[in-house]
Amino acid sequence: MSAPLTIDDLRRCVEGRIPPIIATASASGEPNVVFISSVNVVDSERIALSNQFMGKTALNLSENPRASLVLTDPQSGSEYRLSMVYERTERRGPVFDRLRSEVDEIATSTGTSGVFRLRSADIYRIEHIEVINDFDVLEDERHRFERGPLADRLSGIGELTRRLSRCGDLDTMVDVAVRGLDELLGYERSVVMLVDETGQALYTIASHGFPAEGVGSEMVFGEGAAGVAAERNRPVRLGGVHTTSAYALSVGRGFSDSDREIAVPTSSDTRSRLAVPAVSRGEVRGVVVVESPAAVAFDDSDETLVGVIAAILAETVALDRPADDDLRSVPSSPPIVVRPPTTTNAPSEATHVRHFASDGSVFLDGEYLIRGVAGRILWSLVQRNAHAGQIEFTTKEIRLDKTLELPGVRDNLDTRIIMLKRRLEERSAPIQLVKTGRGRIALQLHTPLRLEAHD
Amino acid sequence: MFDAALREHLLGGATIIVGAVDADGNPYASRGYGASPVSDDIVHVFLDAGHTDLIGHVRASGRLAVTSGNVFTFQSVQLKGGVEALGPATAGEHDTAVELTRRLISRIAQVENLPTAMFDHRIPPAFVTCTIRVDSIFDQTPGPMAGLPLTDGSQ
Repeated sequence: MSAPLTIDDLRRCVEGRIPPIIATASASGEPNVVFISSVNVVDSERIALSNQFMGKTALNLSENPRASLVLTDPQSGSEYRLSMVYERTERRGPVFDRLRSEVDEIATSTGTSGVFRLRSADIYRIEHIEVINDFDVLEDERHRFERGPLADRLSGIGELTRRLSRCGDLDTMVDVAVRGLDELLGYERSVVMLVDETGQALYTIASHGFPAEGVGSEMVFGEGAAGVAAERNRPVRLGGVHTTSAYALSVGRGFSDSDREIAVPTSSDTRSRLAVPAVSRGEVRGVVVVESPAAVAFDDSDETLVGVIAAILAETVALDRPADDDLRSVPSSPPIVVRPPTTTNAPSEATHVRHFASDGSVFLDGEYLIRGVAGRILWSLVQRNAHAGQIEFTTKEIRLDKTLELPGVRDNLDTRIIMLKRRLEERSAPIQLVKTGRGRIALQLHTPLRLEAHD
Repeated sequence: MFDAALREHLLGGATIIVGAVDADGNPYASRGYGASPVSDDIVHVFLDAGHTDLIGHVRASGRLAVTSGNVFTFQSVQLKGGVEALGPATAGEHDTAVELTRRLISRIAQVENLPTAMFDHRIPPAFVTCTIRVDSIFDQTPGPMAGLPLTDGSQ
């Protein structure tokens, strides 16, 4: 006879987020049944359920503390019924925080942040777990899920670490990281986001495996898995994001709703997402996100493996940040001034560059490119080119440009330049940036430019 | 009581969950396989004939809570009322239960990005029809209105 099931046997059900079903009953025997959004394991005998809008459920529990819960395995469809007794409600602490993270992710994914808020975490003691039906894991799921044995992946992380250690700069490093996460560790889709100058938002510097790279896309702290991971400085693992994505799409809300926003890279079939903060010297420098079309694709080992790469990237970002002396110093050598390359294009083929000072946004031939610090950097460079013919620049002289509105201490200039360079590459723009040496970049213009400034 | 929007919600492929109470007053959660209005306040809820515990609880208590959800929008509605009859599904009721379950499977497959054939084995071979006279309907869609009555027996 096999041992009785425990909640540890049902981890996939808990993380999969096929909405669990809870039934309660009043003292008079009137049943009530509702879906709930999140379940979290408290210990081997207890679970916590999210309480958002369950007024009738709460009323019933005050009269009759017994509850019946159905959990579904997202990979097989197997179902389990838990007989439970309500013990207590928590409104703070680690269990509440874990549930709140999951509920926040649902809310931000569905655009319901205003209403979809966790009120409390209700703790139940599990008395019995019954198998309702037991199906094999769907073959399709099996293929989606497998990424090889852990021993191979440990070897893969070793090789990726060696590759990263050979990279000369962050620009190369983020490319090597996202490609290596796929080739060596089986993470076919990944995003590297860095913390911006405000310390309250992330921007995408590289991605891999998505329809669009989304360089320059932004996410504020507390928004989505990456934003929550950054805000709380701990990994966020979601095993069933597909339903929330479908919801967002069904109500006509795309992933970008402004002509000045770049869509954060994701796929409509994403079902699992893991966001790991990139921390160095105690400070969150960014977030590495991996996604999968399989349900509940990630576990503790994935958090560890992705965490290693995140830590290496974070340390590099920290090292790239200039010391205070650099921020205040005058360029040690004058900028190199070179005439712009001649072009055979007629003036009518000039690229129309529009800049809006209010948010730093830049449009190329009417199409949105970038905004914020990166937009101001580009505008500064093309203006200098137009007025003085300058095509090569040092980061030190860029840093002294007051129009960029860089914060004094944590300016992130180097990573912003890398992001701008990658954004221009992604768009195959007629303006490109190339690195010409340590602390030096150059403009490559493939057409003449026609500049237009707006407030 | 069952207006056009609610009929469309129930018949379009809604996921059905049910709550019953056993002889000791313990709640019991399970799934249903379609809910089909047959008059203004009578609905047929189809249960897996193999779920004998559930059917026994419903028969003993005479009460069944039924919540239907839209897998795309999370719109949810709870129906409550007394059980008027409980028995094996007729051939027509069986066909209705299968059809409603297939509509749900089609929606789930769309959300999950999986072929519908992968869910065929989830359709029970036999159903029991639970006939409920609905006395109240509650909005269960996540949000501040959750749990408020859409209509009750007086309306």
